[in-house]
Amino acid sequence: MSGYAQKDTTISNLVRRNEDWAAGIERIHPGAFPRMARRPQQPKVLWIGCSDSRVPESVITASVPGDIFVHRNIGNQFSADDPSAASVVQFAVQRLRVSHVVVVGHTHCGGVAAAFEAVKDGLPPSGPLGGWLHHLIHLARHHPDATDLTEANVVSAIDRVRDFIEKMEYLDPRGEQEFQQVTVVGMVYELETGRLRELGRREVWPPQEEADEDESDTATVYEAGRYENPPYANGQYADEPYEDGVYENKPYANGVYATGIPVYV
Amino acid sequence: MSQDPILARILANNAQWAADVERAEPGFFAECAKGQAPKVLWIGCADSRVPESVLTVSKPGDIFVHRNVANQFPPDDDNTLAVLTYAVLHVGVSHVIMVGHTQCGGAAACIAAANASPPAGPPSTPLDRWLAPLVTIAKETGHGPAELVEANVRAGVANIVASDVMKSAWVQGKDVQVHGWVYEIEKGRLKDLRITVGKNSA
Repeated sequence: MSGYAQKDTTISNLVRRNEDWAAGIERIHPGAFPRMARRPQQPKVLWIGCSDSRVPESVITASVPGDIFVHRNIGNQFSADDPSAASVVQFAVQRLRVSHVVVVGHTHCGGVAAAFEAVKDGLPPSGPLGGWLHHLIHLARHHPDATDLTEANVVSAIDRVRDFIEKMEYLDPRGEQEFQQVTVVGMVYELETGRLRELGRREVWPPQEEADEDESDTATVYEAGRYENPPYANGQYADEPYEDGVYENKPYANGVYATGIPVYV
Repeated sequence: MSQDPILARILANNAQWAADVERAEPGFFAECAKGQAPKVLWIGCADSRVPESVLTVSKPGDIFVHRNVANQFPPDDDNTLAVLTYAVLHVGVSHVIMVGHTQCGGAAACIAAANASPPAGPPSTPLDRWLAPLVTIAKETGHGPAELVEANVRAGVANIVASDVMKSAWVQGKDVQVHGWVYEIEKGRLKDLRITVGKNSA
């Protein structure tokens, strides 16, 4: 044995993959990057999710850069007293004017597991992790099942986000800012199937205004698994309707098709 | 059944993606459910144009992620410290990458606040308080947007290196490196600022 340590290629791999991705996009969409840089971002969705590496929001929703404003922390938690999460929601609602805030929990969450450990041991982890998990540990005492706790945590978070946004709107008593309707949604991502499912919604209506009836054309409403030409996240449609196993370019877990063309364009 | 087109699209895209992945890489999700072993913690901006896994073509399981407004690493923030603690000491990442980006709205807001005339009062909203340290850097340096983005990354790396978490990891002999990068939106490329700190250079 030569005794040489295995060279760590993690960083060079990331940089190389980024270079290949950027070059691929430039080939398919010349000028896409300078165009994106010239315009401000206009995402409609804020995603509050877990830092867990297995839940990258843009990959699992086949979204492109520009689609989703993102905050990820341990256990996908929200508190008005958490400066990080609170500033994200304020920026998203006031400056970016998102229409949706989606809080996403997931199965096999380390934060949930740590909360159960803390209840069993009778004491929280030491240091900042213990402080951060305080609310989750409190919920764990009342929801001893992992699925229950995961869901209760998400429901608690969407209630708190709704309350925070409502307060934000009423902090503007002279009506200097025009607020938009915001829908706060709770979801759980199931690692074993790769599927998102919705838990519930809270609507935050702008003050002083009657919300319009939703007149959207129901013909454009997507129903999972029952459409012929699924749209890609960039608004383009697949050339052919999907049929089981009958298309050549299958996307891999990272959103890149077998031919090397990124699905994110 | 969803009457909300934005939500419906998220769910429909996810359903299609999951089906496609299962076909292309059978058993991928079952494997994911068994555990995670990412080598990298990415601390980046919440900006929608900088989704780490898309621009590095990474799969679920590759990158542990924390994103906030203007990719801050405040030395006493529970949220950020909890992520760093969990990633380095529990999950065992070997690289912590602080990633800023060009066209950062947070940085631009800080420059505006630093130059406001009359001067802006003390921060009174969560967002103002969150960005106060970056406003201070903007005031003290007079940097324009591009330089401020880099100065911000350097400050973040310094805070990470000085944290109890990193010190403890290095004392335990863990080979963890801290890097500072800037993602250039106009080029789609990551730029390494070459300020990497490892256990031997801390």
